[in-house]
Amino acid sequence: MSESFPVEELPAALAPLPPAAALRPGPVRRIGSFLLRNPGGVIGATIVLCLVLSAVLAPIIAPYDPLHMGAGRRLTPPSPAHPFGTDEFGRDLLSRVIYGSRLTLQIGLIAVSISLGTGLLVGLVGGYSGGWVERILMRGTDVLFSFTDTLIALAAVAVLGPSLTNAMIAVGIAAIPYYARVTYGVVLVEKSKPYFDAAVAAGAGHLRIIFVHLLPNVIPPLIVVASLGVSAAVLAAAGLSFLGLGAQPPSPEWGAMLASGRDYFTRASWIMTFPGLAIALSVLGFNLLGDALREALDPRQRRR
Amino acid sequence: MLGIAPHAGGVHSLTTLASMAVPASLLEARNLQKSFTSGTGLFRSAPPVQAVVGVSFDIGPGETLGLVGESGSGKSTIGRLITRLLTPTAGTIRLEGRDITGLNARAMRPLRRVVQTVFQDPFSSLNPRLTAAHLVGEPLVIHNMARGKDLRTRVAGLFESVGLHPEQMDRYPHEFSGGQRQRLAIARALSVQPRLIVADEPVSALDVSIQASVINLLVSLQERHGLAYLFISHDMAVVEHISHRVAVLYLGKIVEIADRKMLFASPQHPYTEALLSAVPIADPRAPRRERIVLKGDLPSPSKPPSGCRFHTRCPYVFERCRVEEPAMREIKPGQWAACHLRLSSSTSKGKP
Amino acid sequence: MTGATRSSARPVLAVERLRTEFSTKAGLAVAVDDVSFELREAETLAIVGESGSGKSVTALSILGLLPPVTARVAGGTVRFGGRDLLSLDRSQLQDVRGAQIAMIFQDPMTSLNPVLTIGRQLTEAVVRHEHLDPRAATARAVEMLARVQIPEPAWQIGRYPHQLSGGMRQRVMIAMALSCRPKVLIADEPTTALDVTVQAQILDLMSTLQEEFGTAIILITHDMGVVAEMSDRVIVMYAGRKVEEGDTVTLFDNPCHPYTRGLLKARPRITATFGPGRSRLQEIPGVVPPLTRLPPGCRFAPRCALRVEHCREQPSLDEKAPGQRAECWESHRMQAESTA
Repeated sequence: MSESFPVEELPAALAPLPPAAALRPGPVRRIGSFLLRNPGGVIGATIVLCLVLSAVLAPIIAPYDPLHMGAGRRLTPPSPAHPFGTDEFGRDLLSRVIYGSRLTLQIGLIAVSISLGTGLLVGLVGGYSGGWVERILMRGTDVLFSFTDTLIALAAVAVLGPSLTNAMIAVGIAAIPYYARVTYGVVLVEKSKPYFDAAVAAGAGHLRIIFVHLLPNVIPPLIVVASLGVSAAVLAAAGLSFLGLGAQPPSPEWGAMLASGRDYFTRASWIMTFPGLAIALSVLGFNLLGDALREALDPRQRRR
Repeated sequence: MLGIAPHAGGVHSLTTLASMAVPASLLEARNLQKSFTSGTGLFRSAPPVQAVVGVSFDIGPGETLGLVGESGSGKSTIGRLITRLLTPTAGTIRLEGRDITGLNARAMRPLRRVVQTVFQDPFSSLNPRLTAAHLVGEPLVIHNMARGKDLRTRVAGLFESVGLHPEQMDRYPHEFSGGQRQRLAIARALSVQPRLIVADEPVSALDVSIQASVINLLVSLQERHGLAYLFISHDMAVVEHISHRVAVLYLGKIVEIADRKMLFASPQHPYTEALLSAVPIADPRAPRRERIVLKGDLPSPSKPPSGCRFHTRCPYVFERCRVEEPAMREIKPGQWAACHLRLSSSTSKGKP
Repeated sequence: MTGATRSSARPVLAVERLRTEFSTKAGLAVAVDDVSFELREAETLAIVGESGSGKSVTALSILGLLPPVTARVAGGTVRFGGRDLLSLDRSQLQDVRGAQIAMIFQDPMTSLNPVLTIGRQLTEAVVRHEHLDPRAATARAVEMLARVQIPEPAWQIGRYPHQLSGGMRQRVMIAMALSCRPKVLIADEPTTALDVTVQAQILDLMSTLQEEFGTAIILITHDMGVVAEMSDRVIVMYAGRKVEEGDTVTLFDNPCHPYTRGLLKARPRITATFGPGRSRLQEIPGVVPPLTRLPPGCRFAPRCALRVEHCREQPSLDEKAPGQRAECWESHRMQAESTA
């Protein structure tokens, strides 16, 4: 089978392809360089990077223990000793905001992991299987769509009690349908393409088709949804904490800080302002990053 | 109804179901039927579309059977039936003597080594996210025929055998031209050393100058490896060039099947005649021949005409055609057609 | 239409040194490079080429139908009716389109508006250009449908495109195009998407209508068979340039450009004779160069068996035979080879 054409017979449709160096470099570098060219992407990436750094380096950069009551006098406005001021318990706000970034990241990652992991599976299996499996899975997804995360969180809280973990899980579950639907849509489109038939005709089994053929095509749009989904998750969890359904005191979660700062808003507005700003900035950062990623992964980028 | 066509090897002998000792056909299709139900869900009021009806043919080892037809003829559906991407509603398919008609996916898998496919669109028949090497070698991996370094060597060999540079193995499909992609698809089909390749319009999407090289490649590979082809196309000229025998389809039925030379030199079915006369000739000096322009449009496959399906457009139609469906008969040795005109008189009507 | 000579040789449309550019990510692509040709009254001129040849872009450039931002006509003139079409403003151009120069496209499914009835689309042109009242416009529409041999035209008027077959839709397109009796019809691959028997019907129809209305046709195609059957003169395009032009009969007899010859030989011919076994088809090695990275000199040279050093310099369009011109330094050698 490894016989080749005798040289004189070699059909000459061998247009030399451009040398490999001139070709686009691997996907990671390509995305990276694109992001750098896009100002939104740069800003977004910077913000996210700051967030990650502050989360990772919290013990080093936070001037005080976030839970230490009496680190300063109560309700002091921003000053050199306490750049973000202190709250009603005398805790340093800057440290609390910095430690809060850990929780924010946690929320984002865990909630999105739940949604992404489950949604991906549901969409893949539903889209590929067809028949009653598909119908059950996708109609189930539709049902889930009708429940907002608040509703789910309320149910969880009623049963399990309020906690940040429960809030994260609730947010994660509520977002499953988005991922499931995107995946499902992509699977349906790819199923109609000849390469899918070719794989079946070559004898590929179900697992192979799903993981080797479908999955790589599903991942790019999901990356975009996920990066935008992180910000949505952060916002949602903050909202839940604000309602008292999520993080409980004394946890320095930004949403909870907003809630406790409400009573003092007229006297000490900084207690709400800084965590609020932090939430807004993080959401902005993830959104910008997600938008830039979407452009970077756009099929337009792929030359035919 | 007799639907058996002669084998490539037995062109000169008359064959019938009852009498012969059949030389081993690679593929036997008998009375294939495929219906699609239109209308979804609860309201299935529309009648099913009969895409393929009563289709029978054989393909012998190393021969090319051309399947010609226009839209609605069912030729692509037949290709998918043969490769078991679809299951026939009725009829049987035998591959190397074994009945594969109703086999499930698992039972079918080892047999997929014997039959491979090449599709029409070189752009979407290759997964854009996998490298060329991965794509070409995948069937080998699926059938546990090679792995690791051996796999790469084999893939390199396959690249060469279709005229591509093995150094380009790790590139992605979009980095190749249309003609090169089609070669990749052919290399993929060849990888498991099949005996039959079902090629569904393999050159239709390519520029004319590239078509020639891919056609030449297919012919060379056939001579070199003894491959059989089921060559599905609407392009008469290409079919004539590459086939040994040709079957002409109209609205899901075979209306004529014959040795290539006989079909093109003296077509026996009016539709074949019309098809041939419709092909533009690249010779401005050729006398403006008496072109048979069919009247009317193709009937809808969900409401086929009564009697002979072609009667609504046939220039020679007479009463019997509207009422009774003609059976497939051997008009001349090696040439079969389903037409009352030919059956009623033993001599052909002086058509060229 | 084959081989007929037209006595009135007045050009109805004259394209001179047309140049159309596209700006792409990979750089500037000159899709039409210095292309000139004339279209005479009531004749059929075929523009033949493969993908990337620029044949469709030429047609779009003539009628100002190029995509707005990425493409532009960078040079040349298109003389029609004493004016340069390229210099007209939008409303003047709209007056010309449909009424004097009409165009039909390859895929009738996407060229017809799926939410409007056939009748509505047919009457649009006559109402716009000839200002007929609705009753007269409908009558004209029915008449046109009958002319293009659509059965029961009065009833078909009320139908929608998806209810018709591909062949019928293309007939409707032709009816629309000819409803205002334009002087020029540009047909861009009108039969490529159709079955071959339907193609025969449509080509037949076009010839008949041409005789009736005296319309000049620019027929864009990749199929040399269609060229042979339908056209009086041909121009062959490759990678944006016109590489050969001439009378159809003499061009087929005696091509002067290696690409033309390659195109003619690449197609299998139905021989219908008991010839010897299958011969190899003539291949043209290589691929069309990307328009953003053209080779210096003759664009076809990298694929040409006859290339020599001289080909690094762009060949000029020379008259190789009466009425036949080609851009090739080595035509004489090619013709010597083929007669040898």
